[in-house]
Amino acid sequence: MTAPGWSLVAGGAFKRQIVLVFVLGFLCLFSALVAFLVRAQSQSLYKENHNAAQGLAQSLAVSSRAWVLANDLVGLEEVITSFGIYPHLRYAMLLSPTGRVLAHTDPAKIGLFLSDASSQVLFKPPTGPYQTLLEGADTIDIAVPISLGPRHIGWARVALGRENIRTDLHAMMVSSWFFVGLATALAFVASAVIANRLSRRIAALVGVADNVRAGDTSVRADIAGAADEVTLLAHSFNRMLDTLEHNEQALRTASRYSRSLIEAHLDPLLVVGLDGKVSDLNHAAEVITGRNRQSLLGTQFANHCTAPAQAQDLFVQALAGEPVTDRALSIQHVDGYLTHVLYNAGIFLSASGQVLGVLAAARDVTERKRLDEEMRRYKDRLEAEVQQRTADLVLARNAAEAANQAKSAFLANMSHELRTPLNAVLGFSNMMRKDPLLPERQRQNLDIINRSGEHLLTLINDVLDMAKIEAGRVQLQHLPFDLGALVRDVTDMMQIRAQEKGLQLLIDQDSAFPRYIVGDEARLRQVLINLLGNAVKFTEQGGVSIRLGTQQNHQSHLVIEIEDSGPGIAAEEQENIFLPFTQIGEQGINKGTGLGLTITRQFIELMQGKITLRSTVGVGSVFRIQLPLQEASEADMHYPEAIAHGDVLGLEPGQPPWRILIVEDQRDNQVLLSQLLGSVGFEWRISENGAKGVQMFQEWHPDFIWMDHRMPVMDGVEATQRIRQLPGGQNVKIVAVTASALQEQKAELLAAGMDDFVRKPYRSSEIFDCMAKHLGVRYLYEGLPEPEESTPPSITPQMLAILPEALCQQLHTALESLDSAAIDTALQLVAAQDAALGKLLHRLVNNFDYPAILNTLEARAHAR
Amino acid sequence: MLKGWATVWCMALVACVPQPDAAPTAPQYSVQASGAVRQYVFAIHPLHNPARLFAVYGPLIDHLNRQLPDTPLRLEASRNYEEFEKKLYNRQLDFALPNPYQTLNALKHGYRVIAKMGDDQLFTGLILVRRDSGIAQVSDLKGKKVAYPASTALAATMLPQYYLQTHGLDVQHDTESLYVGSQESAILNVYYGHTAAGATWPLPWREFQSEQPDKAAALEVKWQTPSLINNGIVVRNDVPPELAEKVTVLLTTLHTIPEGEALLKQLDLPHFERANNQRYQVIQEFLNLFSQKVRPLPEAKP
Repeated sequence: MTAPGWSLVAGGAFKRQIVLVFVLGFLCLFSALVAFLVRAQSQSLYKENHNAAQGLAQSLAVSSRAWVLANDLVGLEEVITSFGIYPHLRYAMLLSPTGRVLAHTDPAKIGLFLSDASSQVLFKPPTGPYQTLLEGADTIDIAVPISLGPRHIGWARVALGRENIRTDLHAMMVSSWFFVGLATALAFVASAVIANRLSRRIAALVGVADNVRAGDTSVRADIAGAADEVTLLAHSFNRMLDTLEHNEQALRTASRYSRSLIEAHLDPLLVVGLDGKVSDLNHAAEVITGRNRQSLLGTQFANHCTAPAQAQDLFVQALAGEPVTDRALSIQHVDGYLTHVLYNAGIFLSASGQVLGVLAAARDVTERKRLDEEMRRYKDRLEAEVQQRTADLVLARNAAEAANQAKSAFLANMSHELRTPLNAVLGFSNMMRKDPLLPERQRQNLDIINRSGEHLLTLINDVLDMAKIEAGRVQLQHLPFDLGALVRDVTDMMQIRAQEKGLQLLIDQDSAFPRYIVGDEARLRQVLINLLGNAVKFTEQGGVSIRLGTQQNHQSHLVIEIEDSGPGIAAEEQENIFLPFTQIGEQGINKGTGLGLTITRQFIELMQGKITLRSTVGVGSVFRIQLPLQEASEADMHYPEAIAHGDVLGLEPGQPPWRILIVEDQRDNQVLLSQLLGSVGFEWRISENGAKGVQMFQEWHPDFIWMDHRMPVMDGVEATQRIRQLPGGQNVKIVAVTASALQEQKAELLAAGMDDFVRKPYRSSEIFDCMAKHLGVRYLYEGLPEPEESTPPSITPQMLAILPEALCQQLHTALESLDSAAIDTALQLVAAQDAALGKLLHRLVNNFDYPAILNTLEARAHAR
Repeated sequence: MLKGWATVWCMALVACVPQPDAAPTAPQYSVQASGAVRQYVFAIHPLHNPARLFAVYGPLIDHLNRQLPDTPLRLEASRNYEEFEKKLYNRQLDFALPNPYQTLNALKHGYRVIAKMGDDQLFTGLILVRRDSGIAQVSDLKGKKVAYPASTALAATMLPQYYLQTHGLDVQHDTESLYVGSQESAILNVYYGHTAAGATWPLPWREFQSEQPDKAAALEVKWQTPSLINNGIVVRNDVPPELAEKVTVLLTTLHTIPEGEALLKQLDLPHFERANNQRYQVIQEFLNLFSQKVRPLPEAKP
C-alpha cells in the first residue's frame, strides 16, 4: 500500500470527492471556529483592558480629588507616582478644568497645557462618567472627571498600552492555526483510507456486474469484512441476480411455450419485415406453401400469393396502421394447387413504439368456401320451394279469408233477418201493452211475448258477439263513464229477479271503489249482467253477493267478486264452463246459448283483465274479475241529456206539422213505425224502397226520413246519397233504421250522409227521442216519473175498493206485523191486481207510511 | 468557483483578526494655555477639610464670579495650616481668608486687610471634654493630653492654651499638647478618648453637632475663652485695587440681598464688614501676651 497522498486518491472521482469533502469540510469548520474564538477572545481582552483603564482613571480621580481641591501639587505628585507602577501604563495625568497639567507621570509635563485636538473635549464640562479619548489596537486613553458634587474641578487621565493584548492574540492565532492544519491533515488521511476501502469494495461489485453483463450469470458478489452498507448492497445485488436468473429461466420457458403454440397453430402465421420479406413463420406456413422454413425466410411475402399486387397493397395498408381483417387471398403451393385464405394483418411495434413489421395470419377457408358454394345451391333450391309454398299458402289464406268473410256476411245477414221480424214482435207487443183497455191477463201474456222477444234478442246478440270475437272484429270503447250508476242499474235490475226468486242480493262496496272510470261501459255492463244473471238464475236459496273493490299491485285493478250460494261447480267442470256452448246442469227453456261465460271471459280478456272461478259443489261459487283501472273524474263525464219522462202522449201544441217519411220494405215494420208516429200526431208517408223514397222526397218534401238500410231496388245508403244531391236534400234529417248489429256499419251509414241511426229492434222512446234530438220536436208526456217526491202520495178507501177482501186482510196483517217480506209479497199481489195502486202503495211503504195504508184499509172496511 | 469561494472565506477570516492602529496619537503640550483668562486664587485657611470647604465656600465664590465675569476667582483649599501659610507667605494667593493670627502675619508679606468676618463674639475658644470623663476643673487636666488643630490656630489653639495657662495650668509642662491638623480631628480625638480634652472654636463645633449629633452628645463644652477679633480677608498688594474694591463691596453688602443672606447662613455668619490692617493690632498684643505666658511663637516666614 502506498503512503496516503494524491496518488492514493487519484483513482477515481468518487474517492477524490470523499477526500475533498472531508478536507475542505474540516478546514472550513476549524477555520471558522478559530476565527470565531480569536475574535471573541480579542473582544474580551480589549473590553477588559478598557474596563481596567476606566477603573484606573476612576481610582486616580478619587485619590487625587482632595489634593486637587487643595491645589496641592506635592500631594498630587505622590498620587501620580503611586499609579506609575501600573503595568503597561503609558502615562497618567491630572488636569485642571482649563487643561493645565497639575500632575503627570512625566514630571516635565507639570504646569504645561494640553494643546492637541483630541484633548479639547476636556476643556468643556464633562458629559458622562468618563471620556474615551482614544481606543485603538495599541492604546486606550480615558479621562474621568474629578468632581465635588456638581462642581467639576479637574480630570484624571490615564493611557494604557495594548501591545500585550496583540502579542497574546497573535500567539493564540498561531497555535490555533497549527491545530487547524493538524486536523485537516488527519481528515485527509482518514478520508483517504475510507475512500480507498469503499472504492475496493465497490470495484468488486462492479467486477461482478461486468461478469454478468458478459454472460456469466452464475457469478456472485462476495465482499469480505464487517457487515456494512456495501455488504448489504452486495447481498441485494446477489438476490437481484438470483431473481434475474429465475426470470430468464421463466422467460425462456415462456418463449418455448409461445413458440410451440405458434408452431401448433393450424393457420399459417408470418412475420413480414418493413421490406416486405418474410422474417419468421410457423409450420402451417410451410405446409400451405409446400416449402421449408429456410427457403421461405427472406422471400417476398407477396410472391407467394396468386395476386401479388393485392397482397402487396394489403401489406402496405397494414403497415400504415389500417386494419386488415378477413381479406380473401389465395396462396400458391409449389405443387400448383391453391389454398384460399382469409388474410388478417396488423403491425407490431418495438418497446419504443417503432414499427418493426407486419404480423400476418391466414386462415384456410378452402373447405368452407366449398361448403358455402354447396350451401348456396341448397339455399337457391329452398327459396324456390318456399316461393312455391308461399304461393300455395296465399291461395289457401285467400280461400280462408273468403270463407271468413262469407261467415261474417252470413252472420250479418242472419242478424238482419232475425232482428227485422223481432222488431215487429217487440214493437207491437209494447204498443199493445200501452192499450189501457187491455185486460190484465192479456197484458201478462204480452209481457211473456215481450220477455221472450227480449231473450231472443239477447241470444242473437250473443251469437253475434261470439262471431265478432272470433273474427277479431270487436272494437272496445275507451270512454269515461259512471261505474257507480252502471253497478246500480245492473243491481237494481237483478234485485227484481232476485226478489222474484226470494233471494237476497247483497252489495258490498269498498269505500275506495271508484265512481268514474274509463272503459267500455256496454261490455262491462254485459259482463256484470251475465255473471249476476247466472248467479241469480242458478241459485235457488240463500243469496247472491257482489263485492266491489280495488287492488293496488304494480297497477291499479278493479276487483269485482260475485258470490252465490248456488249448487256450485265441480272442479272438473270449472274450466269447461268458459267454453262456448257449454252449460252446467239441466238444459231448459230460456237457459241460454251457453255463450254467456265465453263472451264474458273474452270481453274481460280483451279489456286486459282476467276472470277466475272458485267454487265448491253444494256451497256456492265465486267469480272474480280483475280489470286494469283507469280512473276518470266527474268533469270527464258527458251525460246524455237525461230523458226523464214517461211515455209520449202527443205533440206539444204550437209546433209546425211535422212530415215524416218512412222508407221501409217490411210491411210489419212500416205498420209499426207509422202507428207509433201517427199515435202522437206526426204526418207520415211510406215508401217501400229507396227509389220510391227519393221520389217521395221530391214530391212531399218531408222534414225527416226514417231510412231502412237494406231494401230491394235501392238500399238506404244509395237513397240517402241521392236525396242529399237533390234541392233541399241537405236540410232534411235522415236517420237510418238497421237490423245490423255490426258497429262498423255505423260509420258507413254516417259517411253516406245520414244524420244518425237507430238499431232494430227499437223502443218507441228511441224513435221519439231521436226525432226530438234532430228536429227539436217537443212532446207531451204521460207524466214525469216520480223523482222522490217530497209530497207523500195520498190514498183513499175508494182506491182500495177493487182489491179482494182477502188481499186487504193479508196486507193489513203484514203491515201490522212489520214483516217486510210479507209486505212485499202482499204488494206484489196488489200490483198484479192494479199496477198503479201497487206502485202507490209501494211508495207509501218505502216512506214507512204504514199508518196511512192501515187507516185507509180500516176506512174501507168501515165503508162496507 | 472554488477559487472565488476560498477568497471570500479568507477575507472573512482576516476580518475577524484585530488590526494595529495606523498612527497612535499622544497628547501634545504647550507652555501657554490657549485663550485662557487670568484667574485669581481665593484661598480659605483650613477651617474645614478641603471637600467641606468647597461645599461651604464654593457657592460664595460662584456668587462673586457671577458678579465679576471678566476676572474669575478660583477657590483653593489647603491640606493643612502649614501648607496654607506656605502658599500665603509665598504670595501664591491673590485673595485669602486667613485666621486673625495669619492675617497679622500676612501684612508682613505684602497683603492688606480689606474686610473681616462680622460678629467677633464668635471668635472664641472652646475646650471640650467627654461628659463621662469626670473632669470638672482645669486642674483635672494636669498630666493629660489635649488636642489642638494646629499650633498657630488662634481661636482653637492659642486662646484655649492661654485660658488654661491663666487658669492654673502650665500648658507646656502639665499637659501634652497634640496638634492634630484640623478642627474636626481635635474634636474626634476627645470623643475617642485619645486626649482628655480638645480645643476648637464655635463654628466647627456647631457643624460637628449638626453633622454627628450622637457623637457630639457624648461631649460637652467645658470652658469657653474670652473672644478676640474674627478672621480677616486680605488681598495681595499687586492685585488691581479696582478688583479688590469690587470684591470688598460685594462681600460687605452680601447681607443686604436675599441671595447673600442665604450664603451667609450657610457660612453661619451674620455678615462681612469692612476692615483695615489697624484692626488686627489687637492680635499682636495678644500674641505678645501669649508668647510671654504660654510659649514662644514661631516667626512667620517671608
